Amino acid sequence: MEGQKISKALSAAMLQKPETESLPVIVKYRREQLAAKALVKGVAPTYQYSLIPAAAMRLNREQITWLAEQASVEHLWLDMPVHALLDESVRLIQAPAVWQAGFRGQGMRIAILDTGIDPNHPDVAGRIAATATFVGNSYRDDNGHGTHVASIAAGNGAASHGLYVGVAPEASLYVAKVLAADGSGMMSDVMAGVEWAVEQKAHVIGLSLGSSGPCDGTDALSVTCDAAVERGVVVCVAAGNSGPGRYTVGSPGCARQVITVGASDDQDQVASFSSRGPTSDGRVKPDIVFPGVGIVAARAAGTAMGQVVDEHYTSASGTSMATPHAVGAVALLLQANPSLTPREVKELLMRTARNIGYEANAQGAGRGDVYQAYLGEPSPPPPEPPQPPEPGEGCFTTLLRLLRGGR
Amino acid sequence: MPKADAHLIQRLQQSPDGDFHLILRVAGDVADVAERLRATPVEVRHALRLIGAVAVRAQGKEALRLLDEPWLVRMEEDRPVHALS
Repeated sequence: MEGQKISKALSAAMLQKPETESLPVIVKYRREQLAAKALVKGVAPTYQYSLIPAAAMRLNREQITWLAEQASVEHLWLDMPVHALLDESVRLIQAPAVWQAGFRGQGMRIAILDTGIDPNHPDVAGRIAATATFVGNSYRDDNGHGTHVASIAAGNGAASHGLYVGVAPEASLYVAKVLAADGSGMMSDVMAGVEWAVEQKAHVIGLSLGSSGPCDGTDALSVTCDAAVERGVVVCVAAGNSGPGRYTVGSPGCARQVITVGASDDQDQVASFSSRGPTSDGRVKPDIVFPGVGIVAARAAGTAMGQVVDEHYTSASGTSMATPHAVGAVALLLQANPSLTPREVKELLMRTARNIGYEANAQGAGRGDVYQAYLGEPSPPPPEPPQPPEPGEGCFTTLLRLLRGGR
Repeated sequence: MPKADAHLIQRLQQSPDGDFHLILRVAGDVADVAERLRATPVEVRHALRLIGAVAVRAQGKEALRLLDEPWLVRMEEDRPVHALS
């Protein structure tokens, strides 16, 4: 009987953890026995719900077992992390509205310079137009980062029956491996990859990578990215994950003409890890933010980057995940209006971004909205200022918060 | 303007036999410079035409010698980059 009260996920977590280690748990009480509800001595709920008779708390194995034996307890769940599924983040930036207008990235050339790609992943298979290898011997993804990033920009969701669709799902992919299996490479390898992408006549290049430390945009990699922009290619670059301190945007995020992308979450809050400007020469960065927290997207075969969801998908956070949202958005905008110059694309995305209430060196112009950019109209102001997260956040608690009418 | 920052020059001087990954921004034809470098102990990793640069691996003493080359505009260290997730 007690076993049935404990959810499968919680049972599994109990087996994996040492007996004394606590787990985040949601306890639901029987409404008719609320007056006599069992409480664990010395454990204070991290959140008490009002919509249903439940509370969030941290409990060890013994405490969970004891609670499950109590008549007043109806069920115990594991409080699990919330994922901003790709379908949610893509919807947040209003990509489906641009698809409705007929633009899904057809004919657009997206270059992803990263750890390579899994060419057999159903979400990208058959749409990889060209590959190049600047580290190692193969363009195949032995890390998982590159495949995840590429599918956010241009995955078609084939392995999820159309659930996890990227921003520009009919674009062609040009993939250069510039980072090794450990996710690292040299600036010069990335520079060679940028040259290759320009030679391939890519419309947009995505760089979900960077170096640490502040910079002024005069280093060789930043200058190379600016040179690509001058050749007519839009370059989107991750701001970095060294926030929330100032002066944390590294190269090539500090390049002048690229679109430097910070990360926000599905509640339109700038991620604390997202690097902040200004650059060491005083310029505002990032230029814009896109969703980059807990993004579920393609998992390369044989890799375990991020938090694995299933055989084909994994969840990861970072400005790496925000950047391909921008890349896909650029592909849609250029398909809709091929005469736009890189400068105009950047200006359009920034002018129509939604102000989410942070200072410019955290959010840039705001959170990108590809449909507003497509329309060329500024995004409406936010309905309310960002709110601090509530204690005990998890998928269950988020559901309850939504049911209460909160954002 | 100096061709390399003082900190890099100091490190080259302190480790004449050490290996350094460098990016050389060059004046003139990149392919020509790369070809000339291949005839020396310097290992050419990439000839980068977009901004006129050559990525090399060289010993500290070789790098110091390159500072005297008239075609060298700027020398900087080739730094690591990382995936940002």
